[in-house]
Amino acid sequence: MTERWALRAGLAVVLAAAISAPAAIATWRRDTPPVDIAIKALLAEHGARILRARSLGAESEAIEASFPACKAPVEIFVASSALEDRPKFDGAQQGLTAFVYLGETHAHLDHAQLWFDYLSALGQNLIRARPLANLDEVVALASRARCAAVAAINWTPIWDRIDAKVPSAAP
Amino acid sequence: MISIPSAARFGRRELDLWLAAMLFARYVLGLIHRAAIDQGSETVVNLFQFFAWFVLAHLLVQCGARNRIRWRDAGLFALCGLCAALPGDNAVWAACTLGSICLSSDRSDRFRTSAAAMLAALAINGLWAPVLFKLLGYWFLKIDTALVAAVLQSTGRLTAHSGNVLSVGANGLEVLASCSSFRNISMALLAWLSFTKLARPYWLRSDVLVAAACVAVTLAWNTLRLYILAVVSFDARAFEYWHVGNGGRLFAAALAFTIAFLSVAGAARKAS
Repeated sequence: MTERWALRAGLAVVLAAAISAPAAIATWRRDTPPVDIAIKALLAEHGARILRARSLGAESEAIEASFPACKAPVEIFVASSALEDRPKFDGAQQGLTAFVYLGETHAHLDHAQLWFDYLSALGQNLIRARPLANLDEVVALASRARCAAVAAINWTPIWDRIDAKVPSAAP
Repeated sequence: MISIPSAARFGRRELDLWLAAMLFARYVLGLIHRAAIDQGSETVVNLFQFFAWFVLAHLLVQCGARNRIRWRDAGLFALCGLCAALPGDNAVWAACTLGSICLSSDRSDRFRTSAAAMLAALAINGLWAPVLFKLLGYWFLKIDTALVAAVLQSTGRLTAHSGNVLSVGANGLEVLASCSSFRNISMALLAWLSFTKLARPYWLRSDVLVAAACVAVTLAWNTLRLYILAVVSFDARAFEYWHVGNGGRLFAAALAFTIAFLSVAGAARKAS
């Protein structure tokens, strides 16, 4: 009978841990800014000047920015990785140079690769104290000319704030 | 099979109830956390999930009380506990998946295997279905759009449609993931399973027909809602009413009622 109650006490500890441990971690998580604010902060950090920002429809925005050392402006286009924005991606192929997802830059949009990266991020988020955020967002970069300043940008903070300092959001 | 003699009176049923309590507590914690962060409202969705948790508990209470605990059961339980204590938002669904495997190890008890099915359904609804939608979402949206386009065409209102975009007159309507019938189908099947397992712990062949009817009804209601949104797309206020206002809630309630009615009717059928 003593073992029975000891077992129940142990299970009660497990139950309490399953409740309190995630709660304790959640209370000190930092908020991750939305994608558009994070992008504007990154652009400001790299000396870019935002020429215009236009809405492309529901929850989708295109930002045109110029960099001091670049010949042509760069259009940064944020869209959902759930593929309902595929028509925009397909229509914008001309001049489209790169896609960024989870901090990795890709020359072409590979749906299967995106999905595997998404699964990997979900798996990481199970154990990360500060989970990767904005997993549904893909950043597309388009420009008529190559720009070394854009290539040097570390886009990781959009999904993971830990690896880089993000200045206060640019207006 | 190695038993734990001193804990034999602590039966398998009690261990399973502790498992369910742990998973449910983790689930509620996740809801509170998301509500505090997002301040969003998913009350209608969560009602069916709460009902599924109730059915799970109802089934576990009816399981055999004196089954011995095996080392494998204890190990799986420990793994579940570890998973539920992880900080990630999806940890509860990963733990539910493990819990389903843990419960399904005892195939001699119908109530326990039914409880395993409920946990698996909760995990699929919470995690695996959205992951699948991430992979196949655009094609599911094309199906939804094609259905709405067919109805618009039959009423002479369709101008054009391509992919997940509809054109009605001078207005365009883009069908996004949140409007996909796939998400509602996932919830409808969870509700159907819950009602069925609440009524009986065994399956009938006709259950497949009831599930198919639930899927068809969900598609029909969603198509009707998207049709109305397309027709009123020129009027911003009317669009907002049917999209996120009381009109949208009306559709959600109608869908929930229809699914519940079909599921109860199907669950009432007994084995001859």
